[in-house]
Amino acid sequence: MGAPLPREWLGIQQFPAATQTKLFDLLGELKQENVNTLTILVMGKGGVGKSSTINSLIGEQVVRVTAFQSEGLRPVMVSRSWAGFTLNVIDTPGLVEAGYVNHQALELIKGFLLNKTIDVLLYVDRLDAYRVDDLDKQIIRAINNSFGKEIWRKSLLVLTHAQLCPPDGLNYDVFSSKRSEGVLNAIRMGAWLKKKEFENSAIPVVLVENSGRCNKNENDEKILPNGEAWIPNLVKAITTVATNKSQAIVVSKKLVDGSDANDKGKIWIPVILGVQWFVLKWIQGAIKQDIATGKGSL
Amino acid sequence: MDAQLSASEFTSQPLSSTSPGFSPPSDNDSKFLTSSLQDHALNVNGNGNTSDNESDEDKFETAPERPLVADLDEQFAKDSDGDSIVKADSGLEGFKGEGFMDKIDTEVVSYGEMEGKLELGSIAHADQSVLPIQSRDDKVVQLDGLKHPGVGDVVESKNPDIKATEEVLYATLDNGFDHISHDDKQPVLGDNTELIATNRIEATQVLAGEQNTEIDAHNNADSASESLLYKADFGAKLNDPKEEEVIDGLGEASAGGVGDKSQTMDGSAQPLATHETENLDSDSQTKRLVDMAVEDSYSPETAESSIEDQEEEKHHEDGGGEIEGSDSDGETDGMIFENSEAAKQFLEELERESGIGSHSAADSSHDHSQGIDGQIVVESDDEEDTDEEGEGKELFDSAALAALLKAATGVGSDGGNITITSQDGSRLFSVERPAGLGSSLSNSKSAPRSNRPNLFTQSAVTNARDSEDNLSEEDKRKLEKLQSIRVKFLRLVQRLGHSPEDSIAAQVLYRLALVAGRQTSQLFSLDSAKRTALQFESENKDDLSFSLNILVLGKIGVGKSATINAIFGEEKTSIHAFEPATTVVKEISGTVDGVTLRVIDTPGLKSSAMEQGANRKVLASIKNFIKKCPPDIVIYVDRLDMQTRDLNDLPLLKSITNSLGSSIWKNAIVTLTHAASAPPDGPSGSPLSYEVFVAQRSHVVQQSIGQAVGDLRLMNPSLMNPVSLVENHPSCRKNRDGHKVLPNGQTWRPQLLLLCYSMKILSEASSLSKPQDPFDHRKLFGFRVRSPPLPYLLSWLLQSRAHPKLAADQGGENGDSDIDMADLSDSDQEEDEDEYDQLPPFKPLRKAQLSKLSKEQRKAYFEEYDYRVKLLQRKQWREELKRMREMKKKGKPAADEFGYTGEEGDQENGAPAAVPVPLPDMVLPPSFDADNPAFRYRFLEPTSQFLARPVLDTHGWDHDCGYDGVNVEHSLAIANQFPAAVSVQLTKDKKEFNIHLDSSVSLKHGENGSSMAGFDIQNVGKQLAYILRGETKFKNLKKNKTAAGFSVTFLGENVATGVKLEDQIAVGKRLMVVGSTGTVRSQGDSAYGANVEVRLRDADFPIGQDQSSLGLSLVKWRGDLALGANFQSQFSVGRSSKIAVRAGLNNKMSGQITVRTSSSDQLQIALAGILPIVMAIYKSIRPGVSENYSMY
Repeated sequence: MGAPLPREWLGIQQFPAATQTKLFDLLGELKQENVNTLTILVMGKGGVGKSSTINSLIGEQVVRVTAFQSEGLRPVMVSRSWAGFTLNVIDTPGLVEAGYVNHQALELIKGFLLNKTIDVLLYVDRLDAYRVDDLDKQIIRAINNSFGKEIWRKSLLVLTHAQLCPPDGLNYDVFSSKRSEGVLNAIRMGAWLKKKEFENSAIPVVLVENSGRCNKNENDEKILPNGEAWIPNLVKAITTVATNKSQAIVVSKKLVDGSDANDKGKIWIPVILGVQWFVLKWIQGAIKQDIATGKGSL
Repeated sequence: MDAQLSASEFTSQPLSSTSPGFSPPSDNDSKFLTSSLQDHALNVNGNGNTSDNESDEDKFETAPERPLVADLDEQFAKDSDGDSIVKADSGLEGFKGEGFMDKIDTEVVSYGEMEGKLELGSIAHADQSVLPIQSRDDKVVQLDGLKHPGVGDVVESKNPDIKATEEVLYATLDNGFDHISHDDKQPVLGDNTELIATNRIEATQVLAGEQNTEIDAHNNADSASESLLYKADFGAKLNDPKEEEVIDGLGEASAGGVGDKSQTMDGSAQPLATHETENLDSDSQTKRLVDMAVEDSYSPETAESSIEDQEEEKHHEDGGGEIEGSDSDGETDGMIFENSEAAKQFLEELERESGIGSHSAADSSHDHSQGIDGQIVVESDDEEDTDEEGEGKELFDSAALAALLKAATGVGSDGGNITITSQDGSRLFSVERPAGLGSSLSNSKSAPRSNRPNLFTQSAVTNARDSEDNLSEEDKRKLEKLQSIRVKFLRLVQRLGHSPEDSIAAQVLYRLALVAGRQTSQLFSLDSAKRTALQFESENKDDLSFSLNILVLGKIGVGKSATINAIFGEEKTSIHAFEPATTVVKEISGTVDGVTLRVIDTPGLKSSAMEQGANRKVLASIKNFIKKCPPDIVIYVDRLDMQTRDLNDLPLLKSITNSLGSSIWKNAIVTLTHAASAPPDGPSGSPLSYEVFVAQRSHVVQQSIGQAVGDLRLMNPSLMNPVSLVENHPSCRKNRDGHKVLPNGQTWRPQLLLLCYSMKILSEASSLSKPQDPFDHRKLFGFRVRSPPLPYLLSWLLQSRAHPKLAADQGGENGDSDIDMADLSDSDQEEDEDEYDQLPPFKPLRKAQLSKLSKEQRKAYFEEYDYRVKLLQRKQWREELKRMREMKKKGKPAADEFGYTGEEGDQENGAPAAVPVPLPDMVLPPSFDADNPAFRYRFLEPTSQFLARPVLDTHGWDHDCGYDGVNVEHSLAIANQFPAAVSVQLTKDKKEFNIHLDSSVSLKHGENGSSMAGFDIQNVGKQLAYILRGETKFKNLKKNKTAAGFSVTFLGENVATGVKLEDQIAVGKRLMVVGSTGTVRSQGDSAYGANVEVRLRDADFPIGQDQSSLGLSLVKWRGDLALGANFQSQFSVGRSSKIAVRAGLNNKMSGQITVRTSSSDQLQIALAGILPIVMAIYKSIRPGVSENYSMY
């Protein structure tokens, strides 16, 4: 992993004091849990604000954000350390290309993640998109197929563009809960999670507003329209997920390549051969008998 | 004015202002007008020509005192309380006092003002036009006098008053630039529009109130103050009667100065007012281009409020360059667009900009018949100045005369008109034209046009040209309709609360003007339309028969239904944030501002490629639905705040295109909802500006659409779908009137409706006008219906055709055979035969033997050999003829013993009814090779009656097999009596499929006559043309054959009919003259043509293949005369090679020379390889030729 020493997390200092204290508390909690490294994988469609979220989280412009140009195809890992604690955030390219899930990008991501441990997956989508379409499900399915069902236990739904005024006169909370419900449903269906299973491992939802126009409270923290400061929220949710009972996902060779088809069902080969031999024998016997009892040619 | 003006005075104006080089001394007989003219010229020119102007300088000195700047200020102070007209009046009293206006009222006031404005405009123009010239003075030798110092002079040597105006002008200009540079989009446009608007207000004095309401708050102050400044200025100057004259003179002079550009005949206000705006427009445009190129984020603060000459010069240079580089704006725009970061936005601007620019042109085209020309010239004058000069004089003559006429008739005669502008003048002008103006006018008109490249589409030019003719009934009807459309549009615009000067509206009006052509000037002007519209609106008439069918398409959840609700202003359809609210296609109708809207709401489409099947189902139901009520407008809805850049919508857009056809996009408006959402952060971390955001997003959507449609509109901004913004959020900011306002200050709903109306109006107009609409190349690109290419059909008709005939042994010698047996005397024959028979026996040598011969021997041998071969051939030929004649004498139709008979190829070089020999089956290479044409095109049935041949594409690539078609021919005799020939050629390559079928049946009457009926199918452009033709040919004299024919062509829904007459005279044995003439007519459009061809053949023709032909052809179509000459010659060089030369030239000075050498000698082939085998020289240096040629 980080052969070069990760850079100092200077960005944390530029957060408002209130946020900083909250963050330090949370980091302290992590330390208590003996977690010294946290790897966060960020995935989602293109243009939903993955990179912006990372920038907000780290507090620096670590990943280039361009509004209209597609970012590169390669995943990028950003590492920051703070008092012996290392935070790795992996930014990935958008998973959609021309109406399809970009499997090439997915493969790249998998290759990049090889031998890494994913503590938290941030699945990013927009809060202000109203509909969940099939493409979302496809993406979720693709993630599911790549990293296994278990990843959803370690994941977190991040809804960006949270600073909005809900349409149709809906309440903000109602709107956001409805929207998160929609996406969560998509995750459930996309990942083929059983309803119960899904309810057991409820995926936390965090609303995020990365724009520079985000409202701030008296402590200069970025807040959502419902008054919550979202950066501590996000970090808190991350720590919760990171320290929950589920195992972190270790991206092994096997996971990346999928199971080896050559090994699959090897054991059955002699059995099938044996069965075939018996069938063959039986047929031969039948023919012989037929010849013996037969009345010659027609 | 009538008594005081003389043509010569006027002639001096343009010369002095534009071309100092040859300004003739004007007759300075103390006419104040002259003095002021010269005065002005001097100012403008900055003493470009000292020798001529010396006398004028005196005048200059003696010119009456001008009010000083202080005065001006005072005036301004007074004026600023809005009472500017009164101020101007004071000047106009003088005007009146001079007695050349018998009516003084507000109209006159406006006149006076306009004069003042005029002057401003002209000065501005003078400066500006000088600069580009200066930037390339190496070329413009004549204009040396006009070099930069001249510009300085404009300011320096000016009288106080002019200086004052100059400054004012600069101030306003600066203002303009200020806005332009710091505000990327709307304000700029607004500003320009404002300038126009203010001009128009003054010019028309009718719509003033309404227009002012439309002015944005932001610009209002500026423009108002500008106009006040102007007015104040005029006021300042106009307070002196004499002064007024001066100004008038100046106006005239500037008319001269700009005159040959605008061709405004009377130098009255409006054209120059529009000119000024034009200039401003072009300036700002240039400026912005520069800005854009240099740095797209030109921060507001960096724009200095004072723009230096130098800087301006720079822009001008750029502008010049740009204009030079692009005569069709669209393309350069595209290029710039490529380069620049903030491409899209600027393009849009440019488009609008050009809309405005053209708007002024349109105005002038309404108001003066010469408007379009004016526009043309203005746009290109930077590069054409040298040319201009030559024409200047002539041009001005007409201008002067027009002005004279106008003055003579007086302003009062124009009772109904509100403006005393050139509308008046042009009317007079056109009335009086036959009385001697005609020639100079048409000269002046055609001259600049001929060398002006395609600023306008060809049809615009032809339209303009046509308008010289009197209006036909049809045209009149068309124009009436057009006028009613225009009135309708103006009313709609008014109802939406826009002004006609709004960029979209202006663009539409301009296009309508283009459709109308120039005829509008006389009967149907924009102003009268405006008046009518105003009248209707004030009467509250509710007879606006305008309905609009709108189809709304888009992804799910983007807000289609919400948009519909917002358009209607009420909850017409249910919306839901999370669930698809619209599940079936349904129609929602309602009335908005008296317009019946029928909106087809559709279920949302899905963007995933996997779900396109579902989309197709939805689209199929949409298709069914729109069969019932075809939409006028398609609104494609997407969200503004979706920053998808992964071409996510491509599958969706492709599905739409596939299901509904690409034509669905031609009337499509891209509507971006959630327009009030905040722009995302840019790379620098600070949010993008709203304009950039919108521009980039619209560009993404447009590009996706372009990609989905798969045509090249990507690069052409003018073909992109217009974009409108929508915000449906209930908490969207609203203005006082309760309209929702976007972050850029736009009220989106009227804007969207205006866009819809405009597109509908335009398509209405386009359906009204002839298919050669100037604008439908924009919208109907690739789908347009063309008028049949008459010249092509004509040439097809005029082709002399061989009548199919029965096989020789069927006694098929027809009257049309080119070989006259009678010409070959028997004695001749005998002699020849004898000659051959008398020759001593000759033993051909073998190759081995041949190689032993010495050079001389070999030569002698070959000569002898050739001679003998020739004689033998001749003998065989005679025998053949003899046989035929005998057969004919017997008159018995021989049995069709040859399976395949008939004639192919040229009648001239073929023996009558040469028996075609099928191609020998190609020898197949031993191993299969798909590239080998032998495998591809095997002729499997060698004995078939059909003659099939592969068609070799001569222009194919190297290593390409080159065969992309097949040709099948068949000749037969129907009922053994009517010979018929059919030949079909099919060509197909990746892009196109061509079919060319010729079939004909002929009937022989008697010895000397034959008739032929034929049916052809061929590709003309993208359509198939079905041609039915008939022809009768008879030999009336021994040496003369006459043919008459007709043709009916069905091309799409057009039918073209044609007749022709052809005559063929044989002069002696070797010379043949063929003349033919004909006409083709379709939809009131005719083409006339005539061909003359002289053919010279070898003495012993069928054997010797040397022949030459010279053809002349003349085609007249749409007032365009095309003359072409063709020369073709074929001769043998040596015994084994042949050279064919072809040369063609037409009156557009473009031509082509082809030399083709064929040789059967190895060495010569090598030599031929050294020589260019085909050499084509195109001399179409003069651009515009291509335009004239683009008939289809």
